[in-house]
Amino acid sequence: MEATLKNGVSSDDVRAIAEAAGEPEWLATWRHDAWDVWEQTPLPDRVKHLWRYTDPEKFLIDKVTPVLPAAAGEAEDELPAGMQESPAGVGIVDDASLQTSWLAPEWREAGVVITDLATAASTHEELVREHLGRAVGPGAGKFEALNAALFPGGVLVYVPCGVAVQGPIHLFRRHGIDLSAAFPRLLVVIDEGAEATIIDEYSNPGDPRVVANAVVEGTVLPNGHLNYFNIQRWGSRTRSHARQRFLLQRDASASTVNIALGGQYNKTDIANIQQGENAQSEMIGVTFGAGTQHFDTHTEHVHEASNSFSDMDFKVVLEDEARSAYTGLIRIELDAANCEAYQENRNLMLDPTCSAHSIPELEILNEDVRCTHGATVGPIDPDQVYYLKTRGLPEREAEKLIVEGFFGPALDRIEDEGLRDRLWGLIDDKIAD
Amino acid sequence: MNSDLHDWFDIAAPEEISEGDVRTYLVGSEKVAVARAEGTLYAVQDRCPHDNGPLGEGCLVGFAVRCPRHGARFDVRDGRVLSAPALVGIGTFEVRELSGRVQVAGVPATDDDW
Amino acid sequence: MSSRSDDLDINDEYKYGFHDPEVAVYKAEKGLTEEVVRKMSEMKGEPDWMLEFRLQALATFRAKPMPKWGSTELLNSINFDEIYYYLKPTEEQGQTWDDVPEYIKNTFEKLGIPEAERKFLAGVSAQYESEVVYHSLQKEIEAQGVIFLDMDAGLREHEEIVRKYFASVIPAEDNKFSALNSAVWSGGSFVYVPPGVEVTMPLQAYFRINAENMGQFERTLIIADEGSRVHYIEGCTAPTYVRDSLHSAVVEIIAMPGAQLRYTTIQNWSKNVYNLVTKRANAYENAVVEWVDGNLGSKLTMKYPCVNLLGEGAHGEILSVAFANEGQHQDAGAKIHHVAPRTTSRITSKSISKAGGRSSYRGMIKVEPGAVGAKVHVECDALLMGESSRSDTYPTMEIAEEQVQVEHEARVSKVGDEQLFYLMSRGLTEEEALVMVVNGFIEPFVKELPMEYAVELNRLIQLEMEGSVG
Repeated sequence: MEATLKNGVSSDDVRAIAEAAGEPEWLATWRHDAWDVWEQTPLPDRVKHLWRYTDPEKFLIDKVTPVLPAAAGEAEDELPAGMQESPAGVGIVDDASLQTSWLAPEWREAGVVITDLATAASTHEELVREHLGRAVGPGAGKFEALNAALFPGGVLVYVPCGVAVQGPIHLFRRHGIDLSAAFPRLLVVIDEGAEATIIDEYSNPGDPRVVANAVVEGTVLPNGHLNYFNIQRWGSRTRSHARQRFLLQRDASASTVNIALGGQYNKTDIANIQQGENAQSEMIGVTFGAGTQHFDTHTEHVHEASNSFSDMDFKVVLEDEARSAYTGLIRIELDAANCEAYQENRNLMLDPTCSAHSIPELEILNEDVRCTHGATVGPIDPDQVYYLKTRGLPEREAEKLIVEGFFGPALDRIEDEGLRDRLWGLIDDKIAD
Repeated sequence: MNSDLHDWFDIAAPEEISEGDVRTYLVGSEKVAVARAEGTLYAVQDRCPHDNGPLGEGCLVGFAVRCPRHGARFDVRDGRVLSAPALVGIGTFEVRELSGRVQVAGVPATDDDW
Repeated sequence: MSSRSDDLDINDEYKYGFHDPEVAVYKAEKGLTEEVVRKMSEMKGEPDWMLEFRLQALATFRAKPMPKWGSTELLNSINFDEIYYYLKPTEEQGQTWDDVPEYIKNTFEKLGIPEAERKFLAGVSAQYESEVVYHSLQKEIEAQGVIFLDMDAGLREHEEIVRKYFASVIPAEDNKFSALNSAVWSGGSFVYVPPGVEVTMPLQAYFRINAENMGQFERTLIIADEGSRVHYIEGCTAPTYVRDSLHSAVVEIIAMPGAQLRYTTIQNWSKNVYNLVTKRANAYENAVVEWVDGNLGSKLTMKYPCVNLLGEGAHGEILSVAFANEGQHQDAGAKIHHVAPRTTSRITSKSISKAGGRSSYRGMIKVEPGAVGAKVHVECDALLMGESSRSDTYPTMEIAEEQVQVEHEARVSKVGDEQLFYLMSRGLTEEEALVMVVNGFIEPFVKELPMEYAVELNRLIQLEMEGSVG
């Protein structure tokens, strides 16, 4: 049974968390420094456009309590039941710990690691010291500092040099305690020439009231490749603040797909940073808002080195009174020559009571660039509906087909058939509602 | 606004809002600016449609509430926009005094909005 | 191929970098005080309500903080106490061109207004050191009932109509610089076009900063009544100084139902000027407002022409060109508010950053609930030349209505190697080829300008492009 801390968190609780997780001293100190940053950083300024559309007070944890970590579960020998695909590895995280982890023998022997951060802080100290907080450190923002101070357990996925993992590593984050503060944290390190696919799924069984503050960070070392799928299926009474950032070194590449379906009030920040020459990034986002859901998403592609490439495709579908705000930045730094960067944001509004804001931004400091971006906002094209009706489809069916077509190009990029089918199932369910 | 469809929220004692005063209150899940003009109480949406300024932190001149950010003005009686830079009007809320308390009709916070 | 040899003289120097020795009848003290404002209003013989308006605006200016976005370093370096806010060079206004004092005529001669051009003009308002010195109105326009005066005279002779519309589009409190202008405005144009009248020739105004640290705060109010058509052109230059000059203008336009109005600007302030302008138009049913905005000069320009589409069927269009050379920041853009149903808008922005210059596009498209059938198209193209040049695009779209079509696209690139190679293989030097590419890039803008401006603009581009090779 997980234990929760008393309401009203203080720095004593930081110590309690470190102790409960059995962390080494260096990590406890790291947490304490992060707590200081949390306390000293003011709430984000709402006049600045990144917080113009969302109230930061919604992510404070006055009404909820963080969960004390429990000891991480032992690695499983058997593949956990009920997996739809045949994964290379599985990690199941509940409120307090990495409860279940499993790796196919082939990958375990190759040195792939799925473990909780507390354990890794001792067993893989050098690795964790180098990469923890590197992409998203406590200084990244007030809420990022809070996650650094209070995360219980966390997950590390490490793929050693030259290992190309076949099949996805599937992580499930389940946070079901009512009135709790959840702090999922993931650190991914893809070593030189390695490859892996990670599916990272978030949900709340039982629809509890949760304030979720998630951090996903990682580095892809030279010639490495990462496919990362983030599937957000929070319940209808969850508010979520998420920060995701991957650093791509020389000749590295990443393809990230963020699918957002759940949560009542969401603020998400997704970034791929091209730090090394020839780094390549493909970022896909799919958001489907209904009811009174609120989605505020910021994406970033920052080119720090020459000859790098990025492509951002962010699609939003809204119905009922859902709202979306999208700010997307492409930044080409002074020394990044011969870069290509593309961005597209399309917003489909299905009801007159939705609102969509789109702010695609460019900051280009190097002339040797090819960069385009585009954004559209509008309803379903009535000509398209008419055409489908002339083919015998009832209006509702026609609309459904059009919405599916909107997500199609994004979802088609997912290679794993099992995952793709399951996602289509989730989307179709939502369309049918 | 049909008060049958909404709840009455108790927000303040009448003395808290003096003549010529305007203040912000939370009514259900919405912020509302409540003003007293020529003796009568009025309630309007707090968020200025021009640039999201807080009308309740502005000032009242006659029946006009003025946004502190850029000076946009609205009639508190019907929400009508009176001056640039705002271009659209604001919503109004029913307000009454009952049993010595000021009450504003609003939509209760949903379970999702805890 | 060689038609360029006629007009484009590569060896022309930048002729606008001169200044006249200061000649002024009354010179106000430096700095902004209530006393300066009162004195100014008294000397102009203004009604009490205008003095009140100025004084309230002064209080607002002092209370408002500087913007925290844009070139904040440059903005915060403005020393408001070092500026002269009012200066009156002559006692009376001239009636014809011949009556204009000699040294002022010299300035305009040097600006190169050709004889032939004067015939094109319906009337000229010339602003020199904050006061309108010369103004004349041709008989045809008078007969049509068109009013075209400097703003001071407009207030004096048409107080009622001015009072009705002054600050109705841009209130003093809108931003720090509209507050400043509202307190110390002087000069600018007042235009009223009666219903159904079409003004066939463009109305123009020239003005310039001359005295060291002279602030320029002209205020323009244009009312195009129902079904009227008018084109207003504004173009200006300024001498080069070491100390910085501040130009903070306000332009308000009211386009009544069915009116069509175009406002063209080519701004070429010398590179020590801060050009911070608020320009906005209210467009009613089926009215059309077009801003054609060229930003070439100044050290820092911050200007976002805006159209509020308040009546059904109104259309707003903004076509802008920004050229940022070394040490310049052109922070320009466009704002359109769709409030009424079935309104349309189009924004085309072309920017060039060269030799370390910085060009930013800042846009806002806001579609309110109820603005059903809105159609919006935004296109931003940026050309980057030279190391450390910078281009930014910050377009915001806030859409709260479903039955709309909103499209935005932007492109940033350098001059293509293949393009250059092709042109050079036709015998052009690299510099000539670059000039050609740049002129082609801004062609959609240039073709909307009256011919003499198009020629002047091409000449200016050439001057700006000098030294881009090697």
